[in-house]
Amino acid sequence: MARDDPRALVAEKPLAPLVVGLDLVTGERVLELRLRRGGSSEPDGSAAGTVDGRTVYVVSRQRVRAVDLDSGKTRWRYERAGLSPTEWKSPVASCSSA
Amino acid sequence: MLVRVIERARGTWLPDGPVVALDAATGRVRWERGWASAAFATGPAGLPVVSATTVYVPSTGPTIHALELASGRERWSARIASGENPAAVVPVEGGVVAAVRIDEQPGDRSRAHERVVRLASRDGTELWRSDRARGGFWSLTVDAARVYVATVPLNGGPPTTYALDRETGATRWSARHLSSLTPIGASLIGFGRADSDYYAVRVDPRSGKEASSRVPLSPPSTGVQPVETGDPAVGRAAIASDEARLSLVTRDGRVAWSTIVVPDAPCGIFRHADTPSISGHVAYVVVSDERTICEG
Repeated sequence: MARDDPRALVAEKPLAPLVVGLDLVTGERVLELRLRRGGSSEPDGSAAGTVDGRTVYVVSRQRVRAVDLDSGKTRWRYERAGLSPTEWKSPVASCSSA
Repeated sequence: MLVRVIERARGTWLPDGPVVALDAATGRVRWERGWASAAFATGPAGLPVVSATTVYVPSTGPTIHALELASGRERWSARIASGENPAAVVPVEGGVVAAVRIDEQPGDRSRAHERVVRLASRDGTELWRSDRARGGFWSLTVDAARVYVATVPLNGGPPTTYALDRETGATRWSARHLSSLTPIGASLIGFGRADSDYYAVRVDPRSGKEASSRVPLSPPSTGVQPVETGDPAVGRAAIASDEARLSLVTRDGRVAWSTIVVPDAPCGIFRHADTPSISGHVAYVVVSDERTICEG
């Protein structure tokens, strides 16, 4: 299929979210886990995540999933319209103790 | 864990959607708290932040809501300015510091200033206020003695950072070019831009003056957070991130490592990393894809 063919715009399929872990001291990869796609309600893989211990909590469109980092299995999911991984970085704020 | 929902009504998204507390072990809803929303936006008005037993939720207004962490019951709310921009919130001992950009004319971002306030945790009383005409509030950070406010002017001028006394709100210093400051223990790391070059530099927290040589960062970082590396030789440091790469910046302003975390994407896919989270001396990011127009 030619690049300028309009069908090329949808030829590549987005991949499911990927969790990458880097060692803080060396910067080397210690984890790479491809999550399973959340379902038809997720038209692409756009997601934001937080890791606590061995669980990653992934917020994507319309759902939150808790996924075990060792097995890749979903522990639970919470579904609700209006959830969005976008715009969660703004405004920016953080604190630090001396 | 806490999630914030944006709701749709009358054909538009409402930024002041509810905050939902989920049990981290089971995913069950523990409580939910919502507010009436008059404005519209593409995302939530702000993320909730947690301090001890209180959840602080920024909303349009701009208003800060203080909720009991256990029940979601609202303890107080405080409107800190007029306008629709949400505030950034940082918990501090005995209260919270919030900053917001105030547009002098709604929709006209070229004339704006920012306001920083400190509120008491018991009832939301305003302890001090600082108004400055910089116009492009960007980030807010706090250490044991000072509040650091970074601004990026919306008219394209150089970024500016200034420091306020944490107890009184008095201005201590201001510096050009720095677009964010990250306290790392007693050290302070600045991230800045001069012309088209981006860099990290150690900054004297008492004077705002640069205290080391500038270390180039490429590409520029969009987020910085302090971390504890667990290595006695490195100690506390900062993780700088953008949409493709993570870098570790040490207390002395040195880049210890820089690693690309986002694999190459095919045409028609925008592949990007989320803000990293730290757990067990590992920095984790979620890399995700979004469809975009293939211009190749």
